[in-house]
Amino acid sequence: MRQIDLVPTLSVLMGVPIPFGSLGMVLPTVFPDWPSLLAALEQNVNQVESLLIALDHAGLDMHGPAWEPVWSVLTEYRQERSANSAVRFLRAALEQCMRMWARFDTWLMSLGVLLCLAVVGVCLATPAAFDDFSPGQGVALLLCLAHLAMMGSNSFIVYEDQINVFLLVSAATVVAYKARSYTAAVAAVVFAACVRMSAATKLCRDEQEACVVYFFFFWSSFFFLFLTSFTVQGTYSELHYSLAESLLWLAAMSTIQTLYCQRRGDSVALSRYLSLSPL
Amino acid sequence: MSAVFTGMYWWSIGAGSSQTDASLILARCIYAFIVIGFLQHSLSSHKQRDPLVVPSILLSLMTLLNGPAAVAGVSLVSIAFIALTVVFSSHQDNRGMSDLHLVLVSLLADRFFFATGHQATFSTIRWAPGFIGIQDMHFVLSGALVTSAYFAGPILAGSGAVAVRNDGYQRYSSYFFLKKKFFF
Repeated sequence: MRQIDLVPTLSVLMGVPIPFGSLGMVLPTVFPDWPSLLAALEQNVNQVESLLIALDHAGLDMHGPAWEPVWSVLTEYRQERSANSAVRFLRAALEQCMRMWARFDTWLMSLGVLLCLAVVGVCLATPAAFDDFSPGQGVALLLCLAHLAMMGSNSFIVYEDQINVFLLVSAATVVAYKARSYTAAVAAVVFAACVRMSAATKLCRDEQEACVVYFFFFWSSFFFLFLTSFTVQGTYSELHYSLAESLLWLAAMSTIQTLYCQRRGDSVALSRYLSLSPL
Repeated sequence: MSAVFTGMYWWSIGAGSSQTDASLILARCIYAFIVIGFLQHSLSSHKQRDPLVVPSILLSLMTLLNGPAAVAGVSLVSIAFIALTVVFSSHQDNRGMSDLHLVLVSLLADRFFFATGHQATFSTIRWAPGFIGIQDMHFVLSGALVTSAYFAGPILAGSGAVAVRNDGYQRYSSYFFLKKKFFF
């Protein structure tokens, strides 16, 4: 069964109107007898017809030569009231809409790809780009290209957050290897560790399988907040409006709030407060 | 002050309940502080400007809109941000490493985005921030608040990058980790 047919079928079975924007067709096999199928198809045809008329009023040309077969099948249905003509009208309308909306212009797509390649080529062909081309620039270019290549794969787009962590941690490894001092090497390791740990707090995309939403205020975050605060305060101790003060206050207030909720024993409310679900 | 009020706001919201009159006033106070902070910063002379005022203000706004759950991830990425500054402070003379620093900051901006509980899909946009501090939906204000909450991470990273670029290299590199001042 087509995914697009699910909504109209369920709507008719539940006795509610078919959604106005739906282009699907009720599934004939789920209706127990012929009269109920004909009634469902009539409701479906009326809904799709009203959608096409609304699109016509909205400025789309629904009466051009391409649409003539669709309207002639509808006229046929109005005369015969047969299931066959109803199905043909619904399918013809869907196919014509798909032809109208889902267009892929191969010429323009190729031109876009060529334009991207031309931009990269111009950048690389600039004499200054290679004057003092260093390993650092090479790694930077590699990261950019890897990030660009990620967009070519659907699964990489779905797991974009993990790819981001991978790229950052990989770069940190290179940077730690090339570090000029002990302090810089330690900082590179801290950088990689923090990036990796920050991946723990996230919301999941619908397509991500076996993904656990972990967007909570957990106790260890309290520790990290203070670590951030002291780190920044050590460097900007003379500033009154420093990041440190903000973080300290937020940490204190959030922790008191968490304690308050826990003491009330309202676990559902607590999770609602802490998780801040998107809906 | 806006940070204090942000904490009080989330305190007054309670365990997931809706906004009360008190929380509405608190949220509006925070907005007022943010506007005053920006005005004071922009009207002051260059010498008096504190490089971390803008990131601090944006952090308060981000916490107000995204909630305390986002603070954990943001604090970790902030430490990563500072560590990155320390790493590249010794490479200021190397143009190639400066380019790499720039690319890593842009990737960290993405990390801020994910750490504040967002994904690049419409279904993960949180609409609740559009009602913080206002009683009814307002097309312009609610839209601006939802947009601010969604892009708070990258904006915060951008403002932090500017602050570090202007002022931060020397200070961070001289105080990070191995200095006694950090521990005592």
